[in-house]
Amino acid sequence: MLRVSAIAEQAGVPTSSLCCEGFLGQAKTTSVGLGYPNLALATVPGHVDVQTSDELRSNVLGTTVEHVIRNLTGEIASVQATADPDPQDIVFEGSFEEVNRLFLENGWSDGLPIVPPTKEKIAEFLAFTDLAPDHAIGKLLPDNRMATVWNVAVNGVMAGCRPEYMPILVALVEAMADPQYGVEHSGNTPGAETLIVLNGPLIKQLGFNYEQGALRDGFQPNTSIGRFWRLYLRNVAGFLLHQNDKGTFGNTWRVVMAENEDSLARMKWPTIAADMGAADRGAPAADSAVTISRFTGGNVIVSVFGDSAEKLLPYLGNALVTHSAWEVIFTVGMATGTYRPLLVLSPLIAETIAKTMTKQDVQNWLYENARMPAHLFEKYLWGWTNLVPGKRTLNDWVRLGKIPKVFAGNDPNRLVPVVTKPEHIMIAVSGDPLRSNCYLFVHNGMLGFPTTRSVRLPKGWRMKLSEAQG
Amino acid sequence: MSEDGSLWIVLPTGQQAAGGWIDDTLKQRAAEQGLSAKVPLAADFPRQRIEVVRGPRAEDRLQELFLRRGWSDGLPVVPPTVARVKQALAFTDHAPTEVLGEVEPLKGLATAEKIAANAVMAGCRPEYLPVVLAAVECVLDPDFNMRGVQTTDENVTPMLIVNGPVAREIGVNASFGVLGPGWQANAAIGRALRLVMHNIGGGWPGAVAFAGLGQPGRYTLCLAENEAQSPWAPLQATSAVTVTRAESVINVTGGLAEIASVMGTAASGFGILWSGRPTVLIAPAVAADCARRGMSKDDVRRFLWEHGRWRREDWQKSWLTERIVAGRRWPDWVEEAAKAGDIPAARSPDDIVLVVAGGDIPIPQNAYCPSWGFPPACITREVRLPSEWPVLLADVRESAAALVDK
Amino acid sequence: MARRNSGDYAVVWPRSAKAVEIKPLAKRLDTIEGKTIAFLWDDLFRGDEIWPILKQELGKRFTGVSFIDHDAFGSTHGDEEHRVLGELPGKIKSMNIDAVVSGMGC
Repeated sequence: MLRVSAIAEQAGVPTSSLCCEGFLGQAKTTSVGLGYPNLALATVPGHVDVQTSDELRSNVLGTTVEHVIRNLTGEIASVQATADPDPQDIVFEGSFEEVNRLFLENGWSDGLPIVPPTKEKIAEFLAFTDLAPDHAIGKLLPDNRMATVWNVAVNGVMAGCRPEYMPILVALVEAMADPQYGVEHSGNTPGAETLIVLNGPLIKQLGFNYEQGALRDGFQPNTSIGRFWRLYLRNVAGFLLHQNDKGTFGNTWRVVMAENEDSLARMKWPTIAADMGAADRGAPAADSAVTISRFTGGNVIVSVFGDSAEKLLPYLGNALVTHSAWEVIFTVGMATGTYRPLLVLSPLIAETIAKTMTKQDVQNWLYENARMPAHLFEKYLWGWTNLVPGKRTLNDWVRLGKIPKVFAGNDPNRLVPVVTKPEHIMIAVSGDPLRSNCYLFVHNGMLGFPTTRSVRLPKGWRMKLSEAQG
Repeated sequence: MSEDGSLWIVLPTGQQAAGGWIDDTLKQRAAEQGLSAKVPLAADFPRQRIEVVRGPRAEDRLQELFLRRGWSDGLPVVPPTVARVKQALAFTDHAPTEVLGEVEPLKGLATAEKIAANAVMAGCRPEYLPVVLAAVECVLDPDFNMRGVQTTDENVTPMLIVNGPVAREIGVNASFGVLGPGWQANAAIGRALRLVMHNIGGGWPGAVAFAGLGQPGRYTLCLAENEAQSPWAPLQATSAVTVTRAESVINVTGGLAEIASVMGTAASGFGILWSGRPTVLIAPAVAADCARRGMSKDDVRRFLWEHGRWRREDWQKSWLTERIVAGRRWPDWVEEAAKAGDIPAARSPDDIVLVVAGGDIPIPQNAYCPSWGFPPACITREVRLPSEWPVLLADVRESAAALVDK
Repeated sequence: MARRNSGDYAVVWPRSAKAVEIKPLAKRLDTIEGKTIAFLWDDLFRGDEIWPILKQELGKRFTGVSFIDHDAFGSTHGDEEHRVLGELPGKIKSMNIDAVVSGMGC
């Protein structure tokens, strides 16, 4: 909304941005990040979602109209730039406890102790990348601070990472800075949390857990890299609770999920990174890659029972439908065709299915069979929420050419899929190899889209690694 | 304070919504006015919420740092340590990051925490914070015209009048020497508001603020109404802070006629020009005498309005008329009054803010506080006490007493 | 800063400077009369109810104002976002837009 205004101002026309009262603070901060700290805001008193039409009308006529006129015709005060410290300056010297206290008090930490980011520790991390410390990875909204190799290392040290994780950290921040991921949405109210999926030889070289308890803390690389992600969002992108991070509930950072590539190899199933086209982007398939996507929640699918794909899949399909509620406004409506649930199969279940099916077969089966009644789908779009305006039916959307024909029909009880394409159901393999449980991640809120980056290793990687691990 | 004597302090200076710190502007303004030598460390501080001032002698270093950074009214300050600021914040239900408003003219954000830091610096006990917050809310009201008050060449300052039980509970003096030294609450609460204006709003004298003389009331000007000795209803019936704008405090020994005679002079000129609301502090003895003669508060205001008039000839020849108003007009009500005779000190009797204050002595000491500027202002905010007020109050008193118990 | 014990840590700042060039806002209009005002919307928070009220009121107060509705652009939030934002500067020119109202931040 403010991005529109920034673009229009740049194109030379004055703007007025309509904001509910409670959004004004965030709007001011966001507008700084856009380079227009004094964007003109017009207030809509209160929050529109709880106002009657009459109340809304009188609020708009009483306040908003005046603001719009003033915004478009009145003079707007000029502003000046901020002076920030040099990232390489020593900002503090003190004991472990003092450093931790200072970082907490100044909002630079997440509540757990950090490893003090000394220049010595940072140098160890920098040794694991061929990029220069001041190499700019990209600007991160909303704070619009520059992501650099230097501050990747600083936050990696703080998170408790080991120096040899540095190549992964850089790849993660490259993905974070990819416009397709949309990091600027990280502070929205549904409060989704990123899941990092790791593929490639680094899983074993660095000792990631990819078996029992794959989504639990307890292994240094999985845990500390997950924490790094959240610290980086805080310190460089600028998402702080009670400020730019407006997650209603939110949840803590997730540990990195590494796939069980031995199992995938046995089944000849592609990895998540391969599905995401990592190899197509010029990265050899042998490279490691990270895939980031955000999920608001999920659930375990317990004790999947059966000796064949035919017997196992109905349960998984049912889970997919029952956990896709108002999430479907990302299938149709708010961001059509972007709903991408992630089904994680334990190797035991995956390999039972793989006896007769490829991953693509599974995706096709779920697309054909995991379906919900059209009337319920439409209730999520505009019956129970106010997020897809116009009360357009699925039929209307098909007529507009926005979604596939499979959604068309006149019977409100007809069954429609929960995604627009079979391949949007992402499937990964991880977790206890000998258990029959699976896991489903779903996402909600305007989120970044799944984004993959290959991990570039420094020259002399093997030697550096063995020294570091020695 | 940590074990080695380091001080962990909350930076008291203003940060704007857009993230900038007001000190960068202040440094520039101070340089333009040739004041750099007075504040050689202006804008030289870590841009963060908390700073650590290292010992040994951290207290002394802090005083010197704050003076050189321009974060002072010239008197020593109490270090706004994290612990002290937290203690003060226990006395409000506001979250520390909650923004009460932007303090003009440099628009630092008045968060509860920044206000508490300045209150601590001013010497406030933690239990004063609710009154300080109410005072800050008053001056953030657009009608207070903070930008004008901070930057004008006039000597105006906010005058704080505290009413209700809270004044007694925290010991705001209402009686003998009410405008003088000796009472911590009067001294520190008024000073806290000044430091908020100075450190969060950026009203540095000579750099941003250009009052010709200033006035002692700019250090502190805070009193409680003498409700116990007033024959009338108080200014506010509940615990509340009222802020008016005072150009000065003019002592008047005597009764209503003497007060009126002081009001009917050029002292009221600027207030009249902007239809301001002057404050009259009336001695308990005078109030009692009026009441005995059957005068209500309204009667007193009407008396002062009718008798406290600037002579038309003086008004016509006045410096203001010739130099300032020339080419423009005095307000309509002034022109109307001039047609009929002399000029009242306020637009209507109701615009005179009447407060009973001071000690009960037979030679009564009253004060006339002419107003300044636009728009007319007499702003009140309720003092919002925390839900656990009696317990919190008892606790801080007990721990203060414990420090000196033998 | 005074020197500390050998067991101490000298640490750096975990952020980086805000990469903000502060850009001046566009020149404001001398009047709203006779101007073309466009509404861009993110399809959220009842902008479709607020815009008609604004149109009606601005049309009443100023003569000769023309309005371009959000349909002319598409949603500014979601899957169309990048396209809509990319097309905006061109449309401002081709449609002779004088001012933009953008909603809704809630």
